[in-house]
Amino acid sequence: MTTPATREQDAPMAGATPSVAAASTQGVPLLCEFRSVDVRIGRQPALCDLSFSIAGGDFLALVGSNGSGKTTVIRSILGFLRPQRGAVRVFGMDPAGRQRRLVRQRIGYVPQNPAMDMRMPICVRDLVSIGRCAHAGAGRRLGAADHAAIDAALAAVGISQLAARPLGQLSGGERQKAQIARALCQEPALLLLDEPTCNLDAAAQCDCMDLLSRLYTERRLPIVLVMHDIAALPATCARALVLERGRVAYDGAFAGLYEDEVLRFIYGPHPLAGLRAMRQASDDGDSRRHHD
Amino acid sequence: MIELLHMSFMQNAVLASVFGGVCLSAIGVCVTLMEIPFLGICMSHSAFLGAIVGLTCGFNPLLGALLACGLTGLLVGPIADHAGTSSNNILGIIFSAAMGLAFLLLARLPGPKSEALNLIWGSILTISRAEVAVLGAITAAVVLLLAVFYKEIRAVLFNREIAAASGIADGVFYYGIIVISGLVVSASLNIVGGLLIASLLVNPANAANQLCTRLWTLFVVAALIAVGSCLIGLALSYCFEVPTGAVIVLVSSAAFLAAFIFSPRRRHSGADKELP
Repeated sequence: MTTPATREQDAPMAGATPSVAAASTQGVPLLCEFRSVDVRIGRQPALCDLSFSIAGGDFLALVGSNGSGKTTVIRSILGFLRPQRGAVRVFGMDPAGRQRRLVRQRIGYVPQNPAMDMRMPICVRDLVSIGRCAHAGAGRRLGAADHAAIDAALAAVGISQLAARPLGQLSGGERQKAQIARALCQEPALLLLDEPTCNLDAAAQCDCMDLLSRLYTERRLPIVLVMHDIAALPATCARALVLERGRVAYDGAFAGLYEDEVLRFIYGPHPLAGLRAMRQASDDGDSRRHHD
Repeated sequence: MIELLHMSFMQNAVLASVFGGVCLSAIGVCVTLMEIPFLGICMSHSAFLGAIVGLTCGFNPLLGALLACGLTGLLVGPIADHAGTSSNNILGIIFSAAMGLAFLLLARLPGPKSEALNLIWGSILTISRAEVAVLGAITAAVVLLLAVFYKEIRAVLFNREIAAASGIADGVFYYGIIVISGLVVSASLNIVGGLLIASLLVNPANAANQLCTRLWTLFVVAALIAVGSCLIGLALSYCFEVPTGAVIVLVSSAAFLAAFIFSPRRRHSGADKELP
């Protein structure tokens, strides 16, 4: 499904390359589809006539300014929000319907600033094991396969040595890795990350992006990554979807993000920030072009 | 003192201390980690209202308390979810409404009001064998549910959104904990009374939280502190001829103070050093 890139007034976006979105869906199954979706939060429209799709193998950057609807998209995919108009389908099912738990079981989700009490007496392994609860079934103990999945997830993000450490003794970057390990141990068909580098220092941000790049490269795990800072996005991210006031402002190849008009959607009246991002992008250019 | 244990009222009091200590501390751990400590106060006053309705209408006050708390538990979670406000605000509103209605009915209750007022102050030494049996059954149910659904309860206590996103039926467990806490509070009302029961929910759980680094040990240590507080309070009240409920609560408060002072978790995390 090709998403017609639209601006605020529904005019086609100049410079967008929706062919990337189309290409990504050719010959690969659709994981998620938004069809003319309207979502309101209270009386406030959060998504307006939003249409796009995510295919197997996509590494999609979901970008936009505050209030553009990025987190609403993620919460709609998880079925936490039900559209007032249009339809959301995830793995061919309604994520807010009766099969919502089946849908969620196949999605690894790393929320933005989760309200976690880090003084809660649980260790990293306990946190990661939450990802296996639904697989094991309610009221059933985790089996050998579940424990193997937990070990594999801890190893994949490189925190096996922290397994027994209480959450309160972790750094911000380690906590985020523990969250990613929890999402991975669900053995997801789609990984959703909402601002995973929020509140992390520069080194931890790089660590986190390297980890996502590695996961995508090694496993071809479809990833949807919500980010404010496009300069921090990993080189493996091939597709970008820019939202503005709940509508698609741009859907296409990652390189197209650095067009003047698209930067304006992301940085608003602050072109210098956009220029800095472009400079950063040109530093990463070789590797990015390689992946595009 | 040993001879006293042969007397049925003391046997009932000891059994109520053990059962009440275990189930109140288990629920206390949950409400503390869910950050809704006000739940205990709300439920105790709902139980008080239910008991007074029972006395007014001529049925068993314990049954009235159980029904009122069960109903409150069913209302709190869904209302908080749909009202877009915190559970504590909804608990505050229900608490004040229950208290107002209870006092209104209390004023119109004919005859002596001592049976109703006992629910406020508590009277563990007058607890009947039937009330102990109800408390024992509820305690067994709480321990069984905790053992069977431990991993789901742990996930919901950690973060409800993450639990839901992982495919866990978060609402069932979250609302379930609230409803069961209402039943536990109403069945334990006689131990320390409606005014003080919230402290028996909160103190042992918070004392244990100062000492434990694993969730299952938190449940065990909180139960030991709660049962210990009840039994020590019972003994002290006999020795010094002072009100039992008040002494039980003071002992549990002292247990929290001691745990706070000697907390290995606090010292390792350096939490006190982060204060301005």
